[in-house]
Amino acid sequence: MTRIVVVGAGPAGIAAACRAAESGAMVTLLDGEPYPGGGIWRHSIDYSVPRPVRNSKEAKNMREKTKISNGARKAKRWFNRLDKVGVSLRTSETVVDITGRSVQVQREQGGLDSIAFDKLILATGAHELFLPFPGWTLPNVMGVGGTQALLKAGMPVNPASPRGGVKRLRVVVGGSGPLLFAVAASLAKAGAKIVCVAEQTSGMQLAKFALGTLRYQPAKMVQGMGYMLQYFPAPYWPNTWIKEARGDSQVREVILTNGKRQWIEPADLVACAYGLVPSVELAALAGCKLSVARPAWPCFHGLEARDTIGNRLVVDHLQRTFKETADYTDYAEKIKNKKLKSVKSAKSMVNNRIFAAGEITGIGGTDLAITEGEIAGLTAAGKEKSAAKLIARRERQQKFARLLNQSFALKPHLKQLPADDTIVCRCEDVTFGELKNQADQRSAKLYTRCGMGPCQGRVCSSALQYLLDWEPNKVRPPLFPTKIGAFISNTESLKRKAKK
Amino acid sequence: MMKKITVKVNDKSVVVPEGVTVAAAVYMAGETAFRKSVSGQLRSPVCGMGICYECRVQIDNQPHQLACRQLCREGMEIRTL
Repeated sequence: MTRIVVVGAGPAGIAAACRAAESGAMVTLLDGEPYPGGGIWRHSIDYSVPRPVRNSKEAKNMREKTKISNGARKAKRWFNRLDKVGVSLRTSETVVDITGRSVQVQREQGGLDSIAFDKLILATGAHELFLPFPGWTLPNVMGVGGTQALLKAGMPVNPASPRGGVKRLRVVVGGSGPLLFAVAASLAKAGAKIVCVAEQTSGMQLAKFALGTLRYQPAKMVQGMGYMLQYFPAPYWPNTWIKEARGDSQVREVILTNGKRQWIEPADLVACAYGLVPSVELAALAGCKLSVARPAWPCFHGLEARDTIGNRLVVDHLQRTFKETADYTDYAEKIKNKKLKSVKSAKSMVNNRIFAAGEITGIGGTDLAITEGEIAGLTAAGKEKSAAKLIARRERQQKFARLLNQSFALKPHLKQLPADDTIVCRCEDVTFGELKNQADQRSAKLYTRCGMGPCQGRVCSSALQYLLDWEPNKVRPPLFPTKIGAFISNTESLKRKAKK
Repeated sequence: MMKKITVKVNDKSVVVPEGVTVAAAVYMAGETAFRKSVSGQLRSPVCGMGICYECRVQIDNQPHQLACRQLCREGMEIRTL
C-alpha cells in the first residue's frame, strides 16, 4: 500500500488526503495547528463546523448542535469526508525536517518523530505579507488574517460579549486584498467598531475586480456584498494605506494617506497585511524547484506582472514538483508554444515522489486549492487518469486567481513605508536604516543578525524581497525552532531501535 | 453550553471557554503585551498562526511557548513579558 504523507491540513491538504485515501492509499495528514482547516477553514470557538478528530466518540459530540455559516458549508462537506475515509490526522505536529523518504515532526510537547513516506504532498499554504511601517511593532498591530485567527480563537473585542474584554475596540483594517472585507465583517460581527477599511489598490482596479468576479465567481460577489453590509456604515477607502501607527504601551491612532494628503484616525487595534506569500520553506528543503516566474501550465499566457510576491513552487499539469536542477524556463516556453509532446519528455525533470497543491504554487484562493489538492491526491495514489479529468476545472479557477493577483498588485509607494528607524526584523530588532545599505540578505544576516531570530526570516525576508528585491536566504533545518532535547531523545530512540 | 475552564495569567485567575488558545486567554485577562523584544519593546501577536513568534509567553514554567498555537488546559499558568 502506498504511504502518502500530506503536510498542511488546509483545503488543499484535506482534498489531497481524501482523494488519496479514497483511492486506497495509507494517508497521514500533518498540521502544526491544534485543529485542521488551515487559515481559511480555521476552527472558531463561536460556530463550530464539525471538525475531524482522532476518536469517533469525540467527533460525535462535536457534531451536536452546530451552527454553520454559509461560507462554511463547503468546509463541512470536506471535514465530513475526511472523517469517513480514515486518514490518520496528526494535529499540533510541525514538520521541521525532511531526510530522504521521511519527514521529521515536532510534537506539541517537544518530542521528535520520524514518518516515512512513498509519496509526499506539500500543502503548506501561505503566510501574510507584512510590510514594515513606523509603529507596526506596537502591541495590537497585527495581520489581517492574524486578526481573524485570533478572533476565531477567542480574542475579545467587546465587553458586552460573553468573551468579556476591557473596552469596545476601534479597529482600522488596512493593507490589500479581498480578505480585508471578510475580516472587517468578522470583527463587526464580534462587536468591534470598524473605523475604516483602507485598501491600497485603486478604485479602478477594484471595479475591474468586481466585474471579473461577477463573470468568473458570481457567488463570491454576493459574499463580498454581504461582508460590506456587516460592517456598514464604516467607510471603505481605495487608494489609501496606513503610513504610521502611534501609541504607547499599545497602538492608539494611525496616520492614513492616499499619497496626496494624510489624516489621523483613532485605533485600539490595527489589522494590516498586504496579501499572501507562499510558505515554501519545506519544499525548498526537499529540493523542489522554486520560481518567481508565472505558472506555465496551463492558462497564464500574456500575464505581464509577476503574479505572486515571493517565490512559489512550480508544478506540472499533475501537480508534480520539479527537481531543483530542472530548466523550468525552457519547459514553460514549450508549454506556452503548445508543444505538448515535450510535456511527456519532461518527465525526467519532475519529482515523482513530491507533489504540491494550494497556495504554495501561487496564491489562488480556496477553490483552486481544493482542485489542486484533488489532482495531487489522485496522482500520488496512482490515479492519473481521474486526476487529468480535473484539469479543465483548475484552468477555470486559475482565471479568477489571475484576476485576484492583478487587481491587488502593490503600489510602488509602499516601498517608501519604512523610515530609517523602523524595525524590519522583529526578532532581532534590526532597523531599515541598518539594512538598506547591505548588499543582500546574506550580508544583512552576517552583519546585523537580520532573519536570525526564531521566526527564521519568515516575516522580514518576504518584506525585504519586496522592499529591496533581495532573494531570501537558503533554507536550513530545523524549519522551526526545535528543542535540543528533542534531537537527543530522537537519536536515542533510533539507537534503541538499532540495538533491537 | 460551552464548558468553562480556569487558567492563571500573571497570577490572575481567568475563566475561559474550553477550546480557546492561550493567546485568547491573555487578551481576556486584559493584557495586550505578550513579550519584550531584544531591545526591550513590548510586543503582541502578529500572524496568529505560528510563524512570527511574537506571541511567545511562559506556560507552566516553560519559556518561549507559542500562545496562539496552544489550547488552554485547566490550571495552566501563563506568564507574559
